[in-house]
Amino acid sequence: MSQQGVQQKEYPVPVMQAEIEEENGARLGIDLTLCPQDWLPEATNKRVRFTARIYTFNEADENWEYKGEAGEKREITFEFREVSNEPGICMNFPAINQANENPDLFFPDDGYNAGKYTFSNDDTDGGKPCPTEIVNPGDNPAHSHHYKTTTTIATTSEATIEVRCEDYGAYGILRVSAPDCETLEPRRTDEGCSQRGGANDVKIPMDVDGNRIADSASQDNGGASANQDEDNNPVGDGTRGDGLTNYEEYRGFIVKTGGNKSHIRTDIDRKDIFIHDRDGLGYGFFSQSGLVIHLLPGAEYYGGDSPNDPPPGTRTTSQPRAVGDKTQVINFNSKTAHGGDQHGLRLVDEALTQGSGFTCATDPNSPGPPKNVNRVIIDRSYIAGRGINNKLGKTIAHELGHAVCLRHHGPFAPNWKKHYHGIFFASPKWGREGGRQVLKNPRGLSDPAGGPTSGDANCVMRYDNLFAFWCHNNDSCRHRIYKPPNKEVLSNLTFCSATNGTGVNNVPDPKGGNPHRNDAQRGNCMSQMKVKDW
Amino acid sequence: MFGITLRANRGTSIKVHEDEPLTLSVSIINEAAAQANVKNHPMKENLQTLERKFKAKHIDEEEFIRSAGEIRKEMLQEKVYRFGGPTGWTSFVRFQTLIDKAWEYVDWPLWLLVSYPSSSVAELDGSNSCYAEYGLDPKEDRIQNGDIKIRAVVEIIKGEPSLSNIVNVNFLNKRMSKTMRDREETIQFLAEYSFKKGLYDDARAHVLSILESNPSSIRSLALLGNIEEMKGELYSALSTYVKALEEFEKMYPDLDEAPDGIISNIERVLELVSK
Repeated sequence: MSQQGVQQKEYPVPVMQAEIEEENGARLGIDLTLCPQDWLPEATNKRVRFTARIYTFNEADENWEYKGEAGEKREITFEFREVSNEPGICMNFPAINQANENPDLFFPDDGYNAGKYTFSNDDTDGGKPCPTEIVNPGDNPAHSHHYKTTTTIATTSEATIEVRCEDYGAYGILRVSAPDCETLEPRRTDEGCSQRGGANDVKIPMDVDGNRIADSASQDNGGASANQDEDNNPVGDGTRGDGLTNYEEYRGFIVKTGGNKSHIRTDIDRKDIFIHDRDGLGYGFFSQSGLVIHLLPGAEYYGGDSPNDPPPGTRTTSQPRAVGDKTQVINFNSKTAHGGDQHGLRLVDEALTQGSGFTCATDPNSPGPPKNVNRVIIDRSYIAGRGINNKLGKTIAHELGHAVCLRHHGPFAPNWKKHYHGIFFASPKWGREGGRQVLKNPRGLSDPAGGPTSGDANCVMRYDNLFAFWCHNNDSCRHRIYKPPNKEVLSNLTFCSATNGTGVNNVPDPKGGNPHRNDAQRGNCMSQMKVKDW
Repeated sequence: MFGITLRANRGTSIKVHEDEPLTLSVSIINEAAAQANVKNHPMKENLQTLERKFKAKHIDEEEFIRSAGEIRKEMLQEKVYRFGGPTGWTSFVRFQTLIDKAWEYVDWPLWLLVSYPSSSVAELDGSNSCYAEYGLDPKEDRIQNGDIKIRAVVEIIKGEPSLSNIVNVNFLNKRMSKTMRDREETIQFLAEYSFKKGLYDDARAHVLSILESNPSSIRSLALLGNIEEMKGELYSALSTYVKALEEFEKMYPDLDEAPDGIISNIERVLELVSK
């Protein structure tokens, strides 16, 4: 098939119909216009029209001719040979228990079609009404039928039917028939008859490669499989994908942009992460991760919040520690080309006992990917009280970093717990203050070389609250090169892509010796990143 | 453009007794700049790559300028807003209540409890948000009792006020029950409120009453340490923080990560006592 601006490809095995000859010997044929090439499905009452024509075969010229009003007239029937019925209207709306499976393309009995057609084959999924507000109030007007077949009331030689769409990933095959007519291959709206016998099936939207993704959408990726999940930017730990298949990225999501709801189709090359920012924390320096961050308008847009995993200080072992069943799933309305559940992140402002932030996860020592994260907690009031510039944005990025599998730059001193005991209690000197006995000979915690304070000084995953004595892996050679907290200027914050020590972790020796360099044992945070849950 | 989030006592629909303070916390995010940050990130990386190529003389100046120009054309503008002045950026935040279907500004005697950043001028870019907590004392005569709706209004750009979400506050015409008053979380809230107001003796009294019945309360120990630190009792503060650390260890024997808040407190006091 050759069409203007369309790759030359053939439909799958056309269904040839037996030649039908009328009593007077004239052959009749019927065709249908193709779907406009750039048409994309949208759930907000988007409509598209198709025109069927009846032709008469001119034996002399061996040509199908459209004779307009002078031509043969028949009752013309349009029907969906196949139509998608995905749950909901996109991957995350409406809520999981409100999503119906009505046909995503149907013949509306109102507007243009009213009074011209009879309707049948209503395939409405009872019980769960369609949402009338998707992005704005009333943007999907109420309707009670989803007809899959319709026939002109009068006989005619040409009929135009309007199809309504109710899903951002809708796909279907429309066909047309009329008594005594053989079928002709479809044509473009601005072209004449194709002159070729064959099925008049029309794919909505235009999908020559048959992957159920519109050819004009960037997610079509030249006809790649709808199941593919190959995002590779940022590369991270080498795991390709962000847990969303090409079809799911194409069908898209309802997100919050500038305080308003909107529908987006996501990029199949860049890894996406979805955040339910309940308390308006923002994502701080997490944008430096290179992930495409999307904010959700509410908890219902990822299947609801999981039951709270209590933060440190109040948790008991019997309480849940990660996500609940089917909650915090960003692609919960799935059916076609679903690879697996992908989770969003819950970001909350809560009082913490132990500090500024915490990632509540299945394994708090190695949190992430998102399916293992119950929620990311930031104690905003505590951070505000510390008065360190950029600390809030850094803490948010640090904890969200944990949620995508980033770890600290190195292990804490293996005996950090004993460390304080050793310092404070091994050979304590006590004195009295305010009527109470107190320790008089304290010292700070030494971070080991390659520990959590090591590496790139600008990396948000680096710890900045230790005294940070470090050494050249030699206890006899210690250097205090770093000032305690509250003196640090947190600036140019990012996620590091190397283990090299920089800034305070790479200081020239004043005596001209080797620089005091404290490379990270882990570091290279960008190479640890993993978003995909399955 | 700006995302304004309002919480009342960390909730969106709360009840406040006569003897209970009300805190209103407001956060301001430069949403447009945050989105621009995300969108521009790969392009910024491309620019850096281009610069490296240019510096390494793999491309000439003409190609560098042309290619960089094309990338910059695609980038979204990241507008940064600086606001504030002698009265502080927090004076740009005001509150309204809904009275007879009309929003009116309140003139409640609110205390500024905490602000971030603490400077008088705030810079709002795509990575940094602003945050402020305001308190209304329990003793203050309430403007009205019953259910009221409150929202915050922040006017960073003159004539273009940004509105927050609406929170529902039900000012009850009664005091807390004894059971509620004796609850640890209630006392902790009162202690933190007093601490943020600078009423350290009141805060200490509240915290000690918690520790009397629950000596392992890490949150109370940490706050007691803060109170002692503010009162200049540095060695006491140090001991209290170490006690909090011990309790944390008992609670989480398997956690590799040091509790950064408690350790920060210890390290900060260590620096002070070493002087």
